[in-house]
Amino acid sequence: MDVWITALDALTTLFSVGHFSYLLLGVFVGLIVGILPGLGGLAGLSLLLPFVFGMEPSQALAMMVGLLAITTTSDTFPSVLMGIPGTSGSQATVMDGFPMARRGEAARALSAAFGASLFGGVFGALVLSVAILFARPLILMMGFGEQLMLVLFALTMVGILTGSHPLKGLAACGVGLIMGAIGFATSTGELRMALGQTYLYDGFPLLIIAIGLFAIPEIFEILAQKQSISSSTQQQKLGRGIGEGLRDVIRHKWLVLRCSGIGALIGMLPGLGGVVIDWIAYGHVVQTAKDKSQFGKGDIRGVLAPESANNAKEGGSLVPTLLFGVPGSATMAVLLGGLVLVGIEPGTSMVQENLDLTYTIIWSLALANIVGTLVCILLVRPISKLTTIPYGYIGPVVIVIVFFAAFQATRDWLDLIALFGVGMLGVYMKRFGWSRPALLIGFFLSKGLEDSVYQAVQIYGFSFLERPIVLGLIAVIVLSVTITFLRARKSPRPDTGQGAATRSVRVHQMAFLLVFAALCLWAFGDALQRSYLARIFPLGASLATGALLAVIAYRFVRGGPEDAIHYDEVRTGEGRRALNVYTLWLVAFLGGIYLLGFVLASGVFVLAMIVYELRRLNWQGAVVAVTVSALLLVLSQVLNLRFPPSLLQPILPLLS
Amino acid sequence: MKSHILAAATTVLVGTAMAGSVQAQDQAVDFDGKRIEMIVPFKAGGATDVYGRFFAGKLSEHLPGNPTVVVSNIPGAGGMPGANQFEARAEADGTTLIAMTVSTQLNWLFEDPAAQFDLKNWRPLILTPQREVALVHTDTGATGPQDIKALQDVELRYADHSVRGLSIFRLLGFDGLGLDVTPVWGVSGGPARIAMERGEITLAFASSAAYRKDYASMVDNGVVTPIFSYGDLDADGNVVRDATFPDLPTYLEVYKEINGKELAGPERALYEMHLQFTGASKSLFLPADTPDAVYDAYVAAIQAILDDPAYAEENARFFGEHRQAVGEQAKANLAQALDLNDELKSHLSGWLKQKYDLDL
Repeated sequence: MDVWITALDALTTLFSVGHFSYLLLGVFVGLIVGILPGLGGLAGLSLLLPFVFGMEPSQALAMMVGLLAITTTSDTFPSVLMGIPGTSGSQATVMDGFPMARRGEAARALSAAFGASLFGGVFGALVLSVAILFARPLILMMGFGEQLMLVLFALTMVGILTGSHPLKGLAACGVGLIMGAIGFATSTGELRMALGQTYLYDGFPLLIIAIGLFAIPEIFEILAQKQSISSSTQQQKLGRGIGEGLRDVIRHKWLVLRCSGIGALIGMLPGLGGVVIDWIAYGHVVQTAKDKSQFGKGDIRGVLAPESANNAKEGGSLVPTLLFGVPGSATMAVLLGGLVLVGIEPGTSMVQENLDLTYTIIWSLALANIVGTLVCILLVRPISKLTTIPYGYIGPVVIVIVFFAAFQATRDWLDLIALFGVGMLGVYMKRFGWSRPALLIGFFLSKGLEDSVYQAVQIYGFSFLERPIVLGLIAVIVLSVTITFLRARKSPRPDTGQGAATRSVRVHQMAFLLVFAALCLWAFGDALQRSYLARIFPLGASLATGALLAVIAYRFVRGGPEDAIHYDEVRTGEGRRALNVYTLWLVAFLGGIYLLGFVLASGVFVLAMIVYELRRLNWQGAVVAVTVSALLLVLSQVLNLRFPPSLLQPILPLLS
Repeated sequence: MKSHILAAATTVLVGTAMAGSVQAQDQAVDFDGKRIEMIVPFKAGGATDVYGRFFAGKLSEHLPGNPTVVVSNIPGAGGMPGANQFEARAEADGTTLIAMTVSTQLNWLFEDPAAQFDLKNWRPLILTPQREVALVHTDTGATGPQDIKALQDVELRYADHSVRGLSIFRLLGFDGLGLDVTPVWGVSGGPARIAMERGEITLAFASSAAYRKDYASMVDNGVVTPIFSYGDLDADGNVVRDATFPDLPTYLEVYKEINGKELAGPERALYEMHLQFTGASKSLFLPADTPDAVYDAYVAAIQAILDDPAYAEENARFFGEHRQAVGEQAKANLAQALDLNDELKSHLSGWLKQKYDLDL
């Protein structure tokens, strides 16, 4: 009964003016950083940390949790409206949310996402309030062997997300595994494939991979079509789908419940981290759906699943954070720092003498989700109007936003170069039908896979395979793979409708494949120089990927002209020219940043590109350009940011 | 003749001007209206960041002129890009300082090519110790320091962050006690503690803060037991028992008990170096060539923070019971820590290669 009294006390405290206003402040900041692509809960918390110091603990908690709770909701705006993952936890939402926006159903997609987020968030808070008292033994049961199985389970989702062709999907996953092996090897401390760059010591930043793969290709595609995001015939129904979206949540209530459960559970367990949860939920909905034909083209279920899961995750990952002081995700790690700053040491005390603070956190989580969702739903109508503006205005601004977001990864020049490289990879992967989610999942799980194999074997030898939970998880993995395989065999081959592959298509395909092949060769050569423990993983990954690539290459050459492996979105000379032109624009932007600095170059770039896209110079374009530069300037002052150094910097320190 | 007079006059003039500027420095350390940047070469919310922020607000109150102190996080690559940026762009006028952690210093010490800074010339303000203890799981049969001899026959699984860093010194220490240790890299902090609770890991180390937070309850429940502390240094530089664990023998005592002789030779030098490094677990530095007046103003501010009765409770919680090395003391300790000569280094790397087939 004491628990209930403490819980109620915490709730009444939270509703006092002081606490509630801090909660709202957190929600407000979270709303903004969530909407800005690239900035998520992590950046928001870092922004608040200086003020947290010395605050009254329960007020600081209300503010920090309020912020965290809302970012996973508001990050849906860029995912759905621009096709840019708002934070690294909302990539899967892009898959179906953005196609819906392009059909003119942005409002429906958004409100469905917010409804699902609300449910997931409150569900997560509920799970947290119960699990905090009972989850200890569960977490203690998840040893290194069990964690390895969780990673393997997450990896099986690749089978569902292979895109237009299974072989290409698996190879893309292999490429992801190889890219994830760049940097320090845990087992020996050796550096792999770092090219002598400190930038690569910790591997590629996840943010760069996520934004590069998903945002740049979409921007190119819409720019090339010279339209607004939602096509003009659909615009009259824009903003009218809010009620429809909320009804979608109710219609698919069991799906939302299941995915919330998945999110909360995986968030709680050690070993996976927050980023793949939305993909696991997405994989789950595709796997269990009877009619899969609309996934990737704007199926509402593809929005509901990841959104409910990634909000429920927050409650789940607070369990290990509070009980053991072990952060369940990168965001939780910052929250943990915040807790220490206000003088709270997480641990068993959180369910004993600090139980009141734990309940403050739980109530804040629930309240912030409710308040935040309401605010977001109010914003749906005005913000979805963005999709009707000609993309000639939006596109250049989005490119600046994307580069700004990428620069937040480590604030190094190489962030921008890496974004460009990964972006190009994404553009051609999209063009030739190589699954980008498969690469991302491979990349993200690479380190976890290698490390947990190493650790499990180091501790148990191979006897970890005899542990009961490990066996149970193996059964789940086998089941998941079997279902995927059986369903794939039953479903009819999708017709790409592209007609026979010409010789020129085959040549282009092969040229891009050689990029991946070169990566494999490089990884293979690098691995040979390492000691046994650091070698085995990249060696295995590059050999397997190389074998897949060889099979694909063979089919490029010998496969019949109707073979789906020849998938190529851009078969006209005109289309290919457009890709090259936009590539040059990005190169020019990078050059501009180097010369003029980020703030000035952004304005100039936006203006120049608007003029190019609209074939005329007008005052609207000038206003947009000046606004972009001014906003960047303000942001850099408020966030204490340094932009990449430029040639002009010594002369005009403020502007560049 | 004329030119000589001219030269003499110039010398006098320049001399006076220089003397004047030195004098100006002496009297006018005032950061009024200035914005001081504290570089933290790690992510916001991490241990080094928390350390930096602990000081940031208070420095603003205690430095002359009450400047604004802002924290810039430059994360990644073990802190090296942050330290490199500090080296490259920090003006030696007190407007930039850096919060460091021991692993970045060790990267410099072991000559990581990425470490493009000269730590020896930086001016240390304060070194904050994190003294350590070693713990084993009671599944090993050990119930305290008296059972170390028996532990020699047990295969111990030891969790630590990475091969790079203080872990090498710790492994060398275990070897000195004749323990059979299999390292499991990539597991540290909270996850290491949970793995210990599960019994997957049987040997770990903990700083006194981590001990209090994570392990004390497990010791009470009889799941783990501390077997020795690495000791502490008193004001004269002698190794003494850790004040947090007065009943626990130090590594030196245990070594003598097991081997029947005092720890000596390169192992002894490396052990003392390890102690100096745990004594500099977290630290603040000003850039090389910072004028004495500025440096002294900072040292005075930090000393004032440590002595301020208003912070007494907060300080006690934050620093524990160990002596903070400030100013001259920090400089002396750091010099000993960084004094890895070629002989010691080849001893260490030879041992690491032979025992674990790893490169330094």
